[in-house]
Amino acid sequence: MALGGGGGAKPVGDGLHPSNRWVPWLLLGPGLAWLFVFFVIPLFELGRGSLVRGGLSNYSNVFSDNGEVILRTFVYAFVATVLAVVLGYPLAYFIAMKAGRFKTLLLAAVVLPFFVTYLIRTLAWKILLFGDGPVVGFLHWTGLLSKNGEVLNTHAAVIGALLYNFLPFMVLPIYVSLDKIDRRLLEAAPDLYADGRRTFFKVTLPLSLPGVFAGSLLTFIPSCGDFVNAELLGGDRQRMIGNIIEKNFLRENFRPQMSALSFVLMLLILGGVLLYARVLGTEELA
Amino acid sequence: MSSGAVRKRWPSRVLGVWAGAVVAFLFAPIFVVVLFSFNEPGRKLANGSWVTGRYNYKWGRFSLDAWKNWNAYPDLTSAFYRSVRIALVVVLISTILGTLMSLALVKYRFKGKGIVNMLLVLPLTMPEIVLGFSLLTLFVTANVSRGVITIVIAHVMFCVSYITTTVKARIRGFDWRLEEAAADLGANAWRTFNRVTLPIIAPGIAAAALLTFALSLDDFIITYLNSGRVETFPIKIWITKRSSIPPQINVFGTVVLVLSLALSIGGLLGQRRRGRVTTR
Amino acid sequence: MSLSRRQFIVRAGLLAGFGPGLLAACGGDDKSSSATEAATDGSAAATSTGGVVRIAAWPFYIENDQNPKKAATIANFIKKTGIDVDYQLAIDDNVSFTAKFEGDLKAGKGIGFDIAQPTSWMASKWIANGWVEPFPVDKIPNKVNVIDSLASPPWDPDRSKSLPYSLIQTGIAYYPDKIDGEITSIKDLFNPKLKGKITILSEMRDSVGFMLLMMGVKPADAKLEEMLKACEELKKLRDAGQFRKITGNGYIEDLGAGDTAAAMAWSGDVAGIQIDNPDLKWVLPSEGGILSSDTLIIPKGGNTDTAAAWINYLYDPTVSGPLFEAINYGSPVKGAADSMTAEAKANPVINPAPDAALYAWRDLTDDEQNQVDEAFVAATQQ
Repeated sequence: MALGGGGGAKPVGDGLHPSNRWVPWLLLGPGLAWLFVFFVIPLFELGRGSLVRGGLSNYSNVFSDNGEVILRTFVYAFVATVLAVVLGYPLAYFIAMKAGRFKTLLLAAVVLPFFVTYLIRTLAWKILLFGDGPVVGFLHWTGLLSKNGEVLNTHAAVIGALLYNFLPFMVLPIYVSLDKIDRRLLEAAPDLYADGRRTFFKVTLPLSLPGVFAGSLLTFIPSCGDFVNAELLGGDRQRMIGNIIEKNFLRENFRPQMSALSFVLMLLILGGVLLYARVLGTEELA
Repeated sequence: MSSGAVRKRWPSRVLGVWAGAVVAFLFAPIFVVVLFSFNEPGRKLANGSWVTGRYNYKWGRFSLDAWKNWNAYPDLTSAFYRSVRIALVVVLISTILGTLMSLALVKYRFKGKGIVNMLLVLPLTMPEIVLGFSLLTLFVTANVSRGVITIVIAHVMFCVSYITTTVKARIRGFDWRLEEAAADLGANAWRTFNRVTLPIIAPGIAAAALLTFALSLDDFIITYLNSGRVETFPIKIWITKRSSIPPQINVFGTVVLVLSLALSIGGLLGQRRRGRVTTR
Repeated sequence: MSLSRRQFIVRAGLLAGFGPGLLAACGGDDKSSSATEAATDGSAAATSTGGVVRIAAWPFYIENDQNPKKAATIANFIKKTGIDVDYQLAIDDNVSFTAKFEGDLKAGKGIGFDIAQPTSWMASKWIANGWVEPFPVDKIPNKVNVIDSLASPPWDPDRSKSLPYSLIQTGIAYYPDKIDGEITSIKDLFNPKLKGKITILSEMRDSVGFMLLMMGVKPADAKLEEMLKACEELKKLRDAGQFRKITGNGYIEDLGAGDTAAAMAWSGDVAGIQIDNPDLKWVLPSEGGILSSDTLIIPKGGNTDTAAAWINYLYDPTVSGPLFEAINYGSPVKGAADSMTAEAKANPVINPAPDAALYAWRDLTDDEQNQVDEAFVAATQQ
C-alpha cells in the first residue's frame, strides 16, 4: 500500500520521497477533488453569477447601494481586531511567560468558552446587555452612560460581541509564538539592554509578530463575514455586509448583486491580507 | 534580574490583573449560560401563582425544571442529536481526507506543492458567508436540493483544511526513515503503517478530529445557507427563538461544556501519564 | 422514544466506518415510529391512513408551537386520523421562505412540506407559477365552510388550490411606561419622539400599507406612484433613525423581552406575549390597520392525502373555534365563533366588527409587485 511509502521509493537522506511521482497525488486526490468541486467551482460560479444581468454594473451598484454598510463592516472588523490585540496580547504574554504551572489551566480557560455553541454564547450577551440588565445598570451607576442611554443596538455592542467571539483566535497564536521564543535570548537580553522594557520591544515583540499576524487574520476575517452578532445585538443602524447577504441571498432578483457583494467582500479581504503581510513582512500565512 | 525587580514588580502586577480581567470577560457569558439553565422565566401573578414566560432572557426564579425535563422539547433534542450525527460523519470523512493530504505534503517532494498549500489555506482566509453563499450558488445552479448531505459536504469542505493544516504541523518533525527501517526488517506496508506511522501521527489526528467535531457542531452561517429544511441544533435555536427561548437550550449548552471539559481534562491526564511512562 | 434514539446514536457511532450508510441515517428521523404508535393506538379512527403531514408554519400559529405534539389541535388530529404531524416554524417572512425553496419548486421537486401558509398575495404567486398541488377536493368536504368574503379570490376562484388559514390584523403593540404615554395612531408610532425605539415589519404590504394609511390612501385603491412615494417616506424615516429594527416575525422576540418600546405587530403574536407582559397594549391605529390572510397550500410534491386530511380537519368549525380563540387570530371558517367562549366571541381581535377600520390590499400586477418590492427593499434592507 502506498501509505507505508515503502513501494518503489528510494530512501533519501532526509527521509522524504522525491522520486515517487504518483503516490503523493494519490494521497492528495480525494481531498483535492473535494476542495475543487466544493470550493473552487463554487467560487467560480459565484463570480459568474455576479456578472449575470447587468454585468460589471452589478459591481458599481454594490458600492453605490451598500457603500455605507461595506465601510461599517470593515471599521467594525478593524476595531474588533485592534481591541483583540490590546486585550489578547497581555493575556497571551502572561500565560507564556508568567503563568508557571497554571499555564495549561489558563490555556484551557481561554478555549473553554468556545465549547458553548456560538449562538447560545451570543444570546447570553444579549441577556447581559438588556436595558434593565447588569451591564447597563452598572454603566448608569458610574455615569458612563446617560440616563436613557443603552448598549444593545449600538456600535459598541456589535464590536464588543465580535471581539468576544473571536478573541481566543487572537490569544492562541500569539501564545504559541511567544512560547516558542528561546528563553536564553531573553536571559541574554538584559545583559545587552539592561532594561525590561527594551528587552520586550527589541526581542520579545518582534519575535511574536507572526503570532499577532495570524491572530489578526483569524479575528478580522470572520468578523468581516459575520451577521449573527449584528442581527442579535445590533439594530437597523448596525447592519453588516453579512446581514445584507443573509437577507437577500435567495431572492432571485437580487442574486447577481449579492454575488457581486460577496466577491467584493472576498477581494477586499484578500487585498487587506496581502497588504498586511507586506507591512509585517511575514511571508507565511498562519 | 534582581536589579530590575523593584521596577518590574509594578508592570508585572498590572499584567496579572489585565490577564485576569480578560479571562473574566471570556467567562462572563458562559457563567450566564449556566446560570440561566436554572432559570424559570416568567412572573408571579397577584394571586401568587406563577406564569412561565416564553423567553429565557430575564431572571424569573430558580428552578431545576429545565434539567429535570431536559427533553421537554423533542424537536430541540432531535435537532441536537442530528447535529452530533452530522459532526461524526464530518469528522470521519474530513479526517481521512485531511490525513492523507497531510501525509502527502509532509512526506513527499513534488511539483505543485505550493499551489496545493495555497488551495488549503484559501478556505481559511475566506469569510463564512462567502463560502456558504458560493456553495449555495453551486447547489442552486446544479439543481441540488439542500439537506443533510449538502450540510455534510459544506462542513467537510472547510474542515479538510483545518485537519490538513493541524496534522501537517504535528507530523512535520517525524523521521520517516523509521518506516524504511521497519520495511527492511520485513514488515509489510500495512504493518509498517499500523505499527510505526499510525502511533506517531495518531495524537495529532485525534486533536484535529476533536477540533473538527466542535467546528461542525457549532457551525451556523455556512450551514444556515445550505440546510434546506433540515434543522441542526444552531439552526433550531435561530428559528425557535422567534417564538420562545426555553432554558433547555442552556441545559444542552451546559452539558456540551461539561463534556468537553471532562474530555480535555481526561486527555490532559492521559497525556501526562503517557509522558511519564515514556520518560521512565 | 428517547431510549431508542440514544441506542441509535451508539449504533451510529459503532457503524461510523460505513460513511454512506450513516449519511443516510442522518437524514432519517424516528418520526415514523411515533406515527405507528398513534396508528396502533386503540382510539385511532377507522379512517386511519397513517403517514405524516409536514407543515411549514409561522410562529404563534398553533396552541403550543414550542412543543407542537402537545398542542390540542395537533394532538387531537393525530388521535383522530392516525396521521403524524411534523410541525416546523419554517416561515419568518414570505419572501425569504419562498426564495429558500424557489429552485426546488422550479425544478418540480418536493420541498419537504405538505402544507405551507404563505400570505394570500404570495400564495397567488405560487399558484400562478404552478408550484402547488391541486386540492383533492372530494377529500375536503368541509371546504364549504369558508367565509363568503374569502370564498372566491380572482387568483383561485373556486378555491381548488388554496384555502385561507387565518385572518390577520396588523396594528400597533406598545408599552405605555416605556414611551411615557399612549399610542393611538400610525402618526404617533412614526413620531420622532420614538426615534430608535420602534420596529417595523419587513413585509412590504404591512409597512408600506401603514405609510399609505398615514398618507390617507387605502391600500385597496393605491396607485403605483403612491406606493413608491410611501417607500420613499419610509426611507426618510429610516434615515432619520426612527426604526430600531426592520424584521420579519423576529420582532416578537425583542418585544417579548421588553427591549422594544413599540412595534408594528400582528394581532395574535401580541396576545401570545401578553401572557408574560401584561403591560403590553394592542391598538388598531385610528387611520386603520391592515387586514391580510395567510393561506393553506400544498406545495408541489407534497402528500395531498395527508395534507387534505389536515385542511379538512381545520375547516371543522368545532376545531377552528378553540384553535383561533387560543392563538388570537380571526378564523376564516363559518360558525367557528359558535365554538368559542363568550369572551372570545366579543374580542375584536378575533372577531372584528364588520365595520372595523381594517383595510386589505388589492391584487398587484407582477410589474407593480416588482417595482414596489424593489423600492421597498432599497428603502429598508440596504
